Amino acid sequence: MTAEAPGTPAGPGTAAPPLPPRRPGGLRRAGALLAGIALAAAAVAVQSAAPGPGERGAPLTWTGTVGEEVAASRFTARVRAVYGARTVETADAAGTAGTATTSGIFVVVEAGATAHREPQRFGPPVLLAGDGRRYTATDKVDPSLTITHPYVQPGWWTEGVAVFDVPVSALTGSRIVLAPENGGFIGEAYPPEVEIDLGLDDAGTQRLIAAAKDVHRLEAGR
Amino acid sequence: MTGAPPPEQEGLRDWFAPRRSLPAGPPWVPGPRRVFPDEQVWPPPPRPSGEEAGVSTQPFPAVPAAPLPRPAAPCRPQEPAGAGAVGTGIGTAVGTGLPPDARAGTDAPEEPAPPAGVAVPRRRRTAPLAGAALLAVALAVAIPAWENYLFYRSGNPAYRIHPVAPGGAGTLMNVSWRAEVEPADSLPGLGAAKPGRKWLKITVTRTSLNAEGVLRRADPVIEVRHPDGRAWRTEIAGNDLPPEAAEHRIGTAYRYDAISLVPGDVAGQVEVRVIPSTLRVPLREESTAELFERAGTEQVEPQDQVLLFRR
Repeated sequence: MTAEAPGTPAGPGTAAPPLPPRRPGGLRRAGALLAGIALAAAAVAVQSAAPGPGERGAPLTWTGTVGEEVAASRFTARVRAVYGARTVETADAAGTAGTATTSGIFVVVEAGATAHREPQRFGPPVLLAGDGRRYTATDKVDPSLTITHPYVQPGWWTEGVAVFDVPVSALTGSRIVLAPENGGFIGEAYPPEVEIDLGLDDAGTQRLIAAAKDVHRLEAGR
Repeated sequence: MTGAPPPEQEGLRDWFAPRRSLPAGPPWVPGPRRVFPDEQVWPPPPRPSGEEAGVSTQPFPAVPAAPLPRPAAPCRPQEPAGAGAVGTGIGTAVGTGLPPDARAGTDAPEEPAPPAGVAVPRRRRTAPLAGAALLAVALAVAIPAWENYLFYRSGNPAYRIHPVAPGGAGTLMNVSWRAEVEPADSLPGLGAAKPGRKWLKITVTRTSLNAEGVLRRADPVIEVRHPDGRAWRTEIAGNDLPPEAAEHRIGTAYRYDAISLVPGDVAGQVEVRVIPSTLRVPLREESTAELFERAGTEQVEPQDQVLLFRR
């Protein structure tokens, strides 16, 4: 519609003699048609660049590696070490002891974080396996013993662990994702998150499995 | 399907044939089989000449006269002379039923007229069109952005800060508030702070100035914030407000105890912010009927007033 509008009035407008205007009019019309098609194609191309339904409101991710301080928009996080464990023994603040066992392997990630302005808490950390699967932190370990419990505040580093219960096959290429807890039903759009590569290539995975402790102790008040 | 004619009539009558007059009496009553005479369906039988317009479903016949003057249609040059011969519509039939020489003769005088009358105003429409397009784009961006901003503000109000001089009292919503901050290296029950950090013992007192102030006795939000914008977690450890509203005295100071943990170097600089609750808690327990009577009569106030206690 818009493409044809300029072509139509131009035909009679440029025509001083009655016969010659037909050629320019036709050319202009063709040009306007091409411009219209180009605009429509551009509109379609722009639409294809729009975020899909899954990407809209998805977290903004800052990435890094083990030992690196990764500064996201509201907090800075780092991973100090990664351990494997066959069982995890826990003792919470009340002194209640428990033992968690697994058919796979426990991955214990020692992480720390500091906030930039506002006190905040982490939601359950997620382990992104190399094959694209997501494992959330295990519920076999009381959350009060992990990094999701303390407030991350400005001015100092809050240290804690994240414990994942994963099959051995998920270890290679895995990353940990730390993000502040995000409401409940209606979460914030585009929340920040930090994704840290645990450095588990094939050799690293073998080393982690070989060095996996039979018992890893977690105690309150760390 | 249900309206299909019975099989014995199907061969006699075409779908588009004029409807026969049905025999009087109740339909679908079995009776003796009737035989009807043949009837001409196609070509249509000649009609009586006095038939009024609007009855016929046939295309109008060509009118042997000059067509009404029409604006120069954009598709006129592409229109073949006999395209409308089938008669898809009244307008087409009128235009194309003419002999070609008649059309050419009527259109020729129109040709010179549009260049003078039409082309010049169209040129001048470019600026308003561009302006309208810009305005439409601007509105298309601005209106959703404004709505999103209002939604954001519904959850994150723009705080109205009321600064209070050191040691002074601030009054909001018929309640007078005071705040005291006391840094400590260790607190009973919480132990010593880690090196580089200090506990803050915060005492906020509230004094209801009148009965309306007593209604505003819901717990406030207490924040600890450095002037540079950093904030630390503050928890209300307890208060000495009477549990019963009847014991709540006007003019008596009641205390909230709050605890915070801040870096040691800012322990002398952080400021306490008190955001009083806007809830109006009734003096006694209300029955459901009273609750419904009160519902909607009070204006909902945003909880956006902040008392900032300077140090």
